Amino acid sequence: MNSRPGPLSVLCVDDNELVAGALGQRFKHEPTLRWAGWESDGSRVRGAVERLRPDVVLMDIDMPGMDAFALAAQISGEFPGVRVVMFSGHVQAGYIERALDSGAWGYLSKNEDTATLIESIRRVGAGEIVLSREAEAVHRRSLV
Amino acid sequence: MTHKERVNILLVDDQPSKLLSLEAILADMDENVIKASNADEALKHLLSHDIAVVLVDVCMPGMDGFELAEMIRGHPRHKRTAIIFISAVFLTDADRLKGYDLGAVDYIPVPIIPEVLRAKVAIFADLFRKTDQLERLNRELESRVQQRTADLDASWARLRDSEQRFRLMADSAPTLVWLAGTDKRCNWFNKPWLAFTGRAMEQEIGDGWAAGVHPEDLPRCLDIFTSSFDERREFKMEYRLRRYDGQYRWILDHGIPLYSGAEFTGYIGSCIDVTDQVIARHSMERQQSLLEEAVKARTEELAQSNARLRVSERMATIGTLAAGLGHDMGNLLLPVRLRLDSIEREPMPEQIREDIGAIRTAAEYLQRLAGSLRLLTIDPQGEAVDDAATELAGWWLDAEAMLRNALPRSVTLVGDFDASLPRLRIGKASLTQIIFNLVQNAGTALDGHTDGRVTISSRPGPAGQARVFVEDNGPGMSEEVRSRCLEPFFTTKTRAMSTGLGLALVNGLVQRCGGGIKVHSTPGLGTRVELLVPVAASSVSLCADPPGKRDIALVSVRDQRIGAHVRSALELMAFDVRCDAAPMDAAVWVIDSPDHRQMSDLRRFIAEHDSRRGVVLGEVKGSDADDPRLVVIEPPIKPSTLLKRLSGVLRPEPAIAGSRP
Repeated sequence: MNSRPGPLSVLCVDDNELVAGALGQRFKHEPTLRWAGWESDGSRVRGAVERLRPDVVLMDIDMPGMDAFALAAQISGEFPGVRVVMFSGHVQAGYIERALDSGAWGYLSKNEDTATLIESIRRVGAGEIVLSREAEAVHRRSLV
Repeated sequence: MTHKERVNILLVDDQPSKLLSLEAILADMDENVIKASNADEALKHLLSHDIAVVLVDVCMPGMDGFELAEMIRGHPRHKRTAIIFISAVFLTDADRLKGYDLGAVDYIPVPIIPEVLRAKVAIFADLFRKTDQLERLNRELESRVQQRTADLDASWARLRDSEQRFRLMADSAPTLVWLAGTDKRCNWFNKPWLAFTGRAMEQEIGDGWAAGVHPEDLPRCLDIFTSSFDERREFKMEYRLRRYDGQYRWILDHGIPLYSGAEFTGYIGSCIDVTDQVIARHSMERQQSLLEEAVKARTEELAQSNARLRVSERMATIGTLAAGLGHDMGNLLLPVRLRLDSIEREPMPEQIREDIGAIRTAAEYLQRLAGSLRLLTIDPQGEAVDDAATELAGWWLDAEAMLRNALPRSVTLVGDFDASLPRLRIGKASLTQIIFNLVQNAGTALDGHTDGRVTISSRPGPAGQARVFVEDNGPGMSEEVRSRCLEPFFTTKTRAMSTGLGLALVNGLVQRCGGGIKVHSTPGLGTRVELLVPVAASSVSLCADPPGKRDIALVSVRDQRIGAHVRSALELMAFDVRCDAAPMDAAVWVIDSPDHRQMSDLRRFIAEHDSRRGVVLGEVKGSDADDPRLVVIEPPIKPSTLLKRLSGVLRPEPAIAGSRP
């Protein structure tokens, strides 16, 4: 589904430098993925997206001073080609619903194994809605 | 008497000089002196005054002294009046006799000797006075006697009246009345009493009445009656008295001592039938005691429920803490795992690769521990029992690390799960708490054992249920401990170490999901806790994909994200999702915001086969909205509810909770 040629560019939004740094390092070993950059401050995310035009924004929900869901809705609305994916250690039904309804393409758990994580980002780039194993179980249970 | 009463002395003489001299003689006597110059005048005075002594001249013109005396004597009022004749002429004896006959009491010849006159008058005046006093006293006495006699008569009349009235009243009163003499024996009963007992007066008097009192009440009755009687005390007592129809009725008897003046004359008692009140009171007392029991039971329940609440609150706190810790650990383990990934992709000496492998093993262990710590939290949204569906093998992967850590190092933990078992209708957090408590107990029992072993296993159970076992090869429990171990507060440990609520909490959690718990134990061989857990309702159809070839769903949605959500939902519903298939091969066709041509294509599509369904994301005008085979999902389209909306119309069977194909 990704109409753009070349590797998938990913912008990371997380206030944890350890996570962002390790993720950037890990991306170097994935030829199909490109590390577009890292933004720790929610208020600068829109500018970064406009400037970098990433394919995917991997967005942490715990964002000091900023509502991640509102930000996701803003980015999705303003940049339809940019796919926001929520990325969090908290897996709760309410969070997943808000994420999907605010335009996110998926919800990935930080506890997911790294290979699945990389694969999930690729699938979002390919046009799939992706919930990590834990998130899918919680979401499905809340719907039944 | 210091002051004598004056009496009247009447002087009658036709000669004023004689009148004056008589008056002068009598002046010192301190009596009233009245003068009359003839008989007529004298008679007038006599009519208006009580006269004690009349001094009258025998010879007077007109009516003489004798005639006057005769007239005085003829009137009863003057019987006591003394008449003394004064005569200037010599009187013969015949004259004197005549005078005495006419009532004269004395004669005084002239010349008068004043002392003699005064002495004589004084005697008669005193006599009159004394007589007068005597008469007055007599009259008073008589009057008093008459008054007393009248009082006495009235009193007797009243007494007669009151006695009659008492009997009448007692007989017509609505109460039962008895009278007893000083000998404690009853001597009278009113008509209502006799009507009540249906017995005759002769049967009741004396101690006869006691025959009608209920044998259980009689000793108490006699005791109260006798002791009150001896102390002349008023008493009240309740007892059962046999009625004419043989039925015992409750009677309230009120006895009062009777006195006539200071003299004790016996007792009077009045009784009323209080059966209804007594029955009501007994019923109230019964109700009261039932109520007290209910309150007591409720209080105990409340105390137990409070204790359970405290424990579950404590578990919730521990859960929150553990989840926070698990979350933070996870956040830090992510960069560790990512860095290990990166390092492993670089060339390096074998020794370093082994070291990195060891670090990865440790990190993965920590990752599982973090995962199981997060399992301990009670997610208020995720723990609704009816929606819960936990797959044991998957749960075991998450929980194993933490459970292992809950056991002493020397104890082995084994998981052995039946892969064919459906999901369980219990939340992961609840299941983790249950097993965590049971494993902890097993660990305590196995502490010090060199070859301790705890096995968690699952087997099919009776219809709609699965069996989950937690067993150990520890010392086991005595029958007494085994039979009581599920009771709240029961513990074999010291209070400082245990609340005795662990198993009670486990029991509560199991019951909350509609399951049950059994404890089997053999001293010396170990303990096996058996949990019966309901199977998730929807899981029956989840296990396998729908049989046969999967239906094709064609998705023609321009909005990439919504299209992705639709595809994701349809895949979860076990459709073979295509974007480029020919509509003729599909069972479902999903289109967003169709134009006129697309709408007619869609109409044709569903018209060709009854089982075909068309889904439109967006607004549809006109009659198409009423076609049940055409599903319209109007904007705004919420991805979070898309799965539910679509599955409701395309797959009414509960197939959506199945694993992704």
